[in-house]
Amino acid sequence: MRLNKRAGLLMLPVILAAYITAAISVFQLQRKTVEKAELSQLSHNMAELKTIHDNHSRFASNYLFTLLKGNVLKGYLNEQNDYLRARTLGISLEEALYGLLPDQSGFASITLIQPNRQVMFYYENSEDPFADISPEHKSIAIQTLSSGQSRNQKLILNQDNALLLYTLIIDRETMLQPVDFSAPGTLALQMALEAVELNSRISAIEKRYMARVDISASAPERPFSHAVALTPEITVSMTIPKAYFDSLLQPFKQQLMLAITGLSAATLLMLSLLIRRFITQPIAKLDQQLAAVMEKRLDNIANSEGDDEISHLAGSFHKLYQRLSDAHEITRRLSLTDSLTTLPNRSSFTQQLTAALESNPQAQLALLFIDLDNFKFVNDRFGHEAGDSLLRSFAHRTQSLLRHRDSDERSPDDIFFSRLSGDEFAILIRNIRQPQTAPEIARRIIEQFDNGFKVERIKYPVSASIGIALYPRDAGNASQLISNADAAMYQAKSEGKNRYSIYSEKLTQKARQLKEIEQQLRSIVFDQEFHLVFMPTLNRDAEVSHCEALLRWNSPSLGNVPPDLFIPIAESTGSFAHIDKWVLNQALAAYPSLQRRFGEQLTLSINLSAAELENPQLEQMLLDALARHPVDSRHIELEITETFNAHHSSRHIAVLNRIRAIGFSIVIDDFGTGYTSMLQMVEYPVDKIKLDKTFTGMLTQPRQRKLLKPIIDLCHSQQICVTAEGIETRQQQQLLMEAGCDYFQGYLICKPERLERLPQEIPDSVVRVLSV
Amino acid sequence: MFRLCFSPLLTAVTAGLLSSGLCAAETLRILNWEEYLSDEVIALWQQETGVRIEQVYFDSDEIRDQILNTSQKINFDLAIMDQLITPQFGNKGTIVEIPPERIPNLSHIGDEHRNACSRYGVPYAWGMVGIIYRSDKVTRPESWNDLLTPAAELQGHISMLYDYLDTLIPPLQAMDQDFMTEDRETLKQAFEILKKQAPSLLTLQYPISFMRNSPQAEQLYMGMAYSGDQYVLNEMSDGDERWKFTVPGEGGAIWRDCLTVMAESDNKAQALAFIDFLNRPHIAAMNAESLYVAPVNHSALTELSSDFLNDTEVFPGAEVLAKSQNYRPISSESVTLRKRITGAMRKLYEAK
Repeated sequence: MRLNKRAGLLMLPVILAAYITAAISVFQLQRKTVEKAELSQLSHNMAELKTIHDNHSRFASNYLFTLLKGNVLKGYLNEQNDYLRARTLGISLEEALYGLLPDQSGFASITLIQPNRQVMFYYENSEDPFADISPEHKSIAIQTLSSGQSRNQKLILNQDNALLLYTLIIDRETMLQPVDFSAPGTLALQMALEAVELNSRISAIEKRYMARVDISASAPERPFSHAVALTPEITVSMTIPKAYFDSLLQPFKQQLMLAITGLSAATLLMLSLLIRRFITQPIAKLDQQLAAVMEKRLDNIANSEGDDEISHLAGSFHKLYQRLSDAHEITRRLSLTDSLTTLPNRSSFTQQLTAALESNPQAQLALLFIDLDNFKFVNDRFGHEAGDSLLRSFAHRTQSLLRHRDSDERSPDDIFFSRLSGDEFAILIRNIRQPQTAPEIARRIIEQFDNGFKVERIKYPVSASIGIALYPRDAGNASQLISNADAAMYQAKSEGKNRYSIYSEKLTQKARQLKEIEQQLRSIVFDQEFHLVFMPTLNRDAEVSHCEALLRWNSPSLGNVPPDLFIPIAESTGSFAHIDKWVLNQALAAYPSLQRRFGEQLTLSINLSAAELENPQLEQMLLDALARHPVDSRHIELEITETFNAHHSSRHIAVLNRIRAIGFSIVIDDFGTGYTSMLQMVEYPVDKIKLDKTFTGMLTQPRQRKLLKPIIDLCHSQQICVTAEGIETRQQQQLLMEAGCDYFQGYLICKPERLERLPQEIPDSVVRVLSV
Repeated sequence: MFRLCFSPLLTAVTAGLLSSGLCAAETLRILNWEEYLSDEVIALWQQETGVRIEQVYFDSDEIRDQILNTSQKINFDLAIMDQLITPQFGNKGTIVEIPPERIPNLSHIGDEHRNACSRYGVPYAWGMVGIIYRSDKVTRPESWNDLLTPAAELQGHISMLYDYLDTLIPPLQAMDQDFMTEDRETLKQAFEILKKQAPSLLTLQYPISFMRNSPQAEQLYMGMAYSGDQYVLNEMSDGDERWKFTVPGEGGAIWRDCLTVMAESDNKAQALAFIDFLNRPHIAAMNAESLYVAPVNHSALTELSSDFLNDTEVFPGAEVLAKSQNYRPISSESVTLRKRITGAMRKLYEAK
């Protein structure tokens, strides 16, 4: 309910109560006034009745007096001739009555009654000429005759008619009061006169007051009544009934009610207007401001300066909202900020990207997706604090790098650097003008990782792989852009890390494939999809001295996945340890069969991930495998890809030494492709190096041929045997032979095959070359 | 307020008193109906005797009776009375017995008339109670009912005589009753008829008085009257013969007026001489034709013009006379009752 309405509803009963109370008081006052006035009027009316009665009475007296003193009655009484009396005096008496009566007179009668009760004369002027004297009147006359009173005056009531009845006792001779009432000449002269005016006044009064005029011997004492004694015997009284006052006051009551209604409505309206003007409107205004603030149309409500509660409320709201707004701003910033690096976080990044695309779909954007290589290794090896410190440092340096370059060329806003998660970062370059900007930034970021990344005097073996995707060239929307940059980053990673890669459709497919591989690797059942193939190695005597166990992955969905595709992924995701363990066990399990095929002295080569060197469980895993399979560790070589980092060499050396102590030989695999220097390599406690296929190819080229022998010699000088991989031609084999290479491996000699399909013997052609 | 209807009477009385005061010559004062003595006759009398005739008029028997029945001296020598009151006043001594020897011309009057006036009165004229009507407004009424229950166009144009005896003649004769009846029930029925008639009435005044005095005179079309009244009314309307008299089919009442000599008269001899003068056949005829009433003097009939003699308004035919009825004395109680009936009727009329 709106405040205005509620205020109205609250005020209405109060206003009504006030006005009704006032109206009741006024009404009571008015009632008293009316009662007083009416009582006064009543007393006037009753006094008037008395006057009228007196007039009637006076008239009757006068009439009788006239009759007594005049000749008509005398003549009548003295007339002896009945006929004449009737015809002349009787008629005269009647005419006299008729002539003397007032206009519109009612009933009137003249009666003469003798003491013997005989009616001597009766005349009434009614419309009924056949009516006789009323027995009541007659009995009053007779009673008066016998009572000895000379006159009797009565007011007789017959229904609504008041009748004055005068009875005079006279002597028919003297026409005076008889001296002796018992004398024969005594007569009763009676006159009845309907008190017409009195009656009409009484009925008028009765009509007016809607009540009966009480005519009785004595008047009852009642409120609102008035009594007047018409005669000593007869009192008329009237009690004004309550209903009369009610009816009188009815119009006033209605007016009052109308006035209350009107006044209430007016008061309510005025109060409502005032409340609206001074209370609810300010509140509504405040409400509107709040709504505007909530809808972000307004920063904050106006800070009211008034001294009233609403202004205070507005002020409090203002402060409260300011605080909330500040808090919210902080929270918002926090929610958009990565707490570790204080860089914007992923949601902030997504927002920015979306906003950038929405605000200007024609914009040229570049997204750099950065992933730190080997960061997990840092975390595992140096602890999370070191990892965090590395991330902070990377963020900070990159930020300053970007800022530094920003100041050169463009406004800072155009580059948005954020940390997406863990070791993933992203740079959004908005409004890119020159196509080389993104690669240049990528390059400069990667430059920071030259020779590892140094934080507080420690150099961490991490690098950065960066994927670059452009909008709108590479993607039509934000998520696609992110996904493509991510794919490009994977490409960079797959290309050997510490580099950037610009998104292309082909890249996408590859990246998608890598992603697929990564996903498959997570859920793979090794026994079902992995299998080992074995690739024999010949010694200088053309005997199969070694057999390398190579992992093959035949995925139902991906087909044959080459190891160089999925092994780096396994290494980066950490699943390499399981794979190594499976390979180790499978190879050891196959070893007796291989021995049976290639002789008791056959050495089994098993590849271990380079990352195993960081695995503290490595030794135990090896020991466990030896315990499970009755294999002499001296017949087992462990091949590790040369990805060693010089900075970890002492630790790695210790690991290698311990493995060697168990009896395993250590082989550096893929030698010649990595960045380990020859000198560094020979410092390592290794038993053998395997020249990478490309290195083999390169060293057997005519131009580098002369390096072949010195390298092999160098190894030999350090008691390191040399195996050449990737031998595909006889010439190569011959050159290697001549350079003193110890072992030979390649398709020329034997392709890697499943255990059961391994050939019994190496083809003669191969053996022949060796034996030459 | 007094409702005395004596005004014409009082005027006449005053005039008489004045003239008596002014003139010391011998004078005969007569209480008479208006226009009921020929001026020609009066002139002849004065010429012959030098005695002046002074008249005081009344217009109803009741009023005359009231004037006469008083203990006070009223100074009349002669009075015209109806046949019923004549013996009563005679018995009372208000009038004197007429010595027949003093009126030699009494021999010209028939016994039917002389008996009616008793020994206290000399018959003067006779006639009928009937209906006068404006012949230019109303067709001749055939029945008392035409008067008692008048047609719509006559409402408010009707008059009735206000007299304890005469007022009841129309209803009683219309009822085919004895109009002198003393039967209360019959009278009640007659009163009911009068009650119904009351709203139609224009007046209860004697038509001649009404015509002379009322501003509404022209509204009167039909009324109860005595034969001869039509003549006076026509005289009043400048000889226009519009007023007619008729006796309704039910019959009428035969009235007879008597000339009486007041006991208190100081001039009884001259009064008797005047009565005798009036009964000379020639004078009687002259008076009758002048008044347009039938003479009681049978010798006068030969002196009358044939037109007059053949006028049925003056001389109703035998058929009418056969149906008509004479007045007769009734009891004093009946008088009182009849007076009350007419009084009630007047009240009803005035209440209208």
